[in-house]
Amino acid sequence: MKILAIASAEWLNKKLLFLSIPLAWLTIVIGPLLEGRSVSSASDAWPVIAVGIGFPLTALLGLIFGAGMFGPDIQEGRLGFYLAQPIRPAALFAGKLLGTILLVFSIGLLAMLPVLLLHLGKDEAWSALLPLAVVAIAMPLLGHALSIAFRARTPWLLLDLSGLGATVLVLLWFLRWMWVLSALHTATQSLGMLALLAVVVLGVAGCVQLAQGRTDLKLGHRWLSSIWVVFPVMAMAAMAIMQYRTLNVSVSSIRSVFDAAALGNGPWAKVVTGVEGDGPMANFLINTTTGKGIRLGNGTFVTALNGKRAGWLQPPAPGGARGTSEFWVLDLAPGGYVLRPTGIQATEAYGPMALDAEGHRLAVLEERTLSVYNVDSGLLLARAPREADPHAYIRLVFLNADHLRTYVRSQGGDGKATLIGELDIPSGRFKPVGTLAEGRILERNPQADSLLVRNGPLGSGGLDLVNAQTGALLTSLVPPGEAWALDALFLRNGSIAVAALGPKGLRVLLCGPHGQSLSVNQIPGVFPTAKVQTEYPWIGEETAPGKIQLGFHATPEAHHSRTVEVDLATGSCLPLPARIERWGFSLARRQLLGPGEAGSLASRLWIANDHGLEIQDTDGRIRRLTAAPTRRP
Amino acid sequence: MTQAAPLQIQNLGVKYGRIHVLHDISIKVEPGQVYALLGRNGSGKTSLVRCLLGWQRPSEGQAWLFGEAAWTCRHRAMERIGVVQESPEIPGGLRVDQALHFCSRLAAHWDSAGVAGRLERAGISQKAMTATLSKGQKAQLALAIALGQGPELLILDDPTLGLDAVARRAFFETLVTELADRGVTVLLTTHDLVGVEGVADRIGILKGGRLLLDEPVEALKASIRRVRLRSGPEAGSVLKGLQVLRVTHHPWGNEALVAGLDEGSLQRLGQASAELESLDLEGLFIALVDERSEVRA
Repeated sequence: MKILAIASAEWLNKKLLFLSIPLAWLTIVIGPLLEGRSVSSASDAWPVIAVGIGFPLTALLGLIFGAGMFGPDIQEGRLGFYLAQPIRPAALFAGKLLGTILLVFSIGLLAMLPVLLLHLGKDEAWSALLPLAVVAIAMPLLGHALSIAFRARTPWLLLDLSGLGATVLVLLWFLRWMWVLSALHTATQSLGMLALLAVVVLGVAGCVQLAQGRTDLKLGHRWLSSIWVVFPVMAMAAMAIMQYRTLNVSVSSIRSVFDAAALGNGPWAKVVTGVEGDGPMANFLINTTTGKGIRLGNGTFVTALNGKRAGWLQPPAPGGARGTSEFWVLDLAPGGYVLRPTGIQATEAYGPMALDAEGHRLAVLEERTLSVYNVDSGLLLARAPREADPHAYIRLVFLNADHLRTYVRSQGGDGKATLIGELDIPSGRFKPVGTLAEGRILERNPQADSLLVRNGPLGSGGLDLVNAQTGALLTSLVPPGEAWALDALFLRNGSIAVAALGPKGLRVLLCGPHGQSLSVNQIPGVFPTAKVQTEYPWIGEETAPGKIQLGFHATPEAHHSRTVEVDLATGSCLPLPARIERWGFSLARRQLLGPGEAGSLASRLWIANDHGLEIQDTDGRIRRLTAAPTRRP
Repeated sequence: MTQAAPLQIQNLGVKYGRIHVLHDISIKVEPGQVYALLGRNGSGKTSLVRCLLGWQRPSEGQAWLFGEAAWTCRHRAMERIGVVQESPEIPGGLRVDQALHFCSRLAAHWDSAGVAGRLERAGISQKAMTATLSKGQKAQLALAIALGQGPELLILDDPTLGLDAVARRAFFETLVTELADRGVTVLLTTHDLVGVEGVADRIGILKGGRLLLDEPVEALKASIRRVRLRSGPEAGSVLKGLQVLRVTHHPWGNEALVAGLDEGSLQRLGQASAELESLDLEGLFIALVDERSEVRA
């Protein structure tokens, strides 16, 4: 009751300020008209102007009245009227603060609410209340603290300013990291909590300042500073923890998995996932041995074939140079990692790039150039001009470190042109060495240096085996028109497994390393219809020598895929637990292996499905990494 | 069980940085007593009152209100205390009746009729804005508010400062009337020695942050005389053995302020042709705090 009595006295004491509301209304309504706008155009601008006036008005009045709540009275010895009353200082502070908050909030609200209600409707108009309330609470507290700090003129002011400066610096550092990790939305939420903490600390500091200092401004400021300084310490610690927690993730916090890919020959795997409280999508590297992960930026991601280095091009920060991205690199080791910027700047580069096998060189395709950089030093090694082709989709396949050659696939917008070329790094000369007539690459066999290439558009294309260096056709495994959908896999012994769904049903083919047909078997129970033919059969992994995991949809009514283990020689199928749902992914490291690394093929099977992120070890056991089932994207 | 003194200060000291404004002050005011604390500007009166009211933490010593530490129990003690400051800062945006309503909501007891009567006698309209009141009216309003709480202890910190003679007189008349009605204990700091003379039971005089004197008014006036001695070889020996508070040297001789005079002393001074003079409170105060005189005791 005493607090309310003080609050109402504070309100009454400044009631004349409500006269400013009609003035605000006039400014909102007449302002745009005076600029020569039409009435309809002006009325469209009213909500914007109302917010533009209401919030600054609330903030300004809050700051001014907050500064005048106690500071001048203490400095000029005029606080006696209140202190002569039987009331605790804390209640006095709370009462005056409450009165001030209600006053400035009411003025801000009344200044803009009629216009907002008229133009935005009830729901949107009232949604502005929460931020307005935050401003109305925070600004008087800030004004009070500033008033006490600057009036007292004690050395404690240095502590205040140092704390504030340090907080700002750490905040900038924090925001930079959040930007690098593409986690600014997470930062927004965290910073909101910090702002709330700042308001609470300011409130406590102001209250204690009055309770312990009373009419002694210097003593009060000492108390204020002593408590206020807790905020920079807590804020800096909180930001450091947030940064650490954003950067580091445990698989137990993963709530959904949308994509996964093994990384080279190490324990790391890239996972596109949602993490609780971390937005809908984020890229992580997960160490499958420890279950710990690192958050990555959302830029295009590349890895070295040896699995020890990864990196991405980080889009520019807000306010940064437009169109320029910086390459950040992550050096991975079993015990930890080092994340650092390389200083390599690329323009218009959001995808076409590759690291060499050791991760020491980076090739980046820009609009008119192909550049190769030394990742360790950040120096440009070579740059070759390219013909401008605005319609081309350009993608780098890989960089061969041994021969310093770069293979580039330049696929036209219509999907009919694929270029394979070589960049001579010392000279910077780019020489086309072969072309593919059309299609897209499914699979590469490093042992035979051959590529499996879909040779036609989706729905009617076949499958070819081509020379990876020149693009020359070696053999056609599935002629065009024989399959609506297909998948293929190089097996550990270099043979090729193909699953093809077509008018004849679902067939599995076993071919030799050079494409010679070894066996063709029909998978029973698949009834191809218009519905089924839109579904892909897919090959998960080689589960045992000569056996593959195969997923498919048996009938149009099947909502989930069936998964079987197929003996390629006989065509016999053994049902596997339906762990992989129709939208799931089966991911192996096979596409990332370089020459000589075939031995680790299928050592692990990655599954991102309704059961979460799982690993199948070589002994066949499935380990679940995620804590909860994944959700559909 | 003995009743705690409404007001007690023990060995109280106040420092602002390195400046010592109050040294080792000890005062006890008994129930029903009117204690006038006198001192020149800057003597530390306001700091003392602030410490006493729990508005400021003393650097040394302690102040008690009704037996409780003033710093920690101020809010409780204030239910029994009325305060009038030297410049009552009633929020200027309030009307008189709003200010009264505000105070009534905070006070444990509130005498609305009594307050209204006092304001009526002082010619203050309750609809007037407090910002428009004259200094005298503000002082009367502050006194009315202080008395409206039915206080057991009234603390008046130079309440007539800046008031004209008429307003001062009106203020003290109100005070005397109120004090006659109730047995209120009063601590009054003031420069207005004329006003205080008819009110105070006991006097304390602060000088340079020290309590120079703490005596009942009548005993003080009875025991202290101004003694004028013409120059002569025997002047020094005449004062020997007397409690000399101050000595001022003049071309014509010496003027001494002497306390604790008995019949024998008076006879001896008479034989030495000394001129003896009784002092009123103002004369006493001036004589004691006059910087030109030499402090002897």
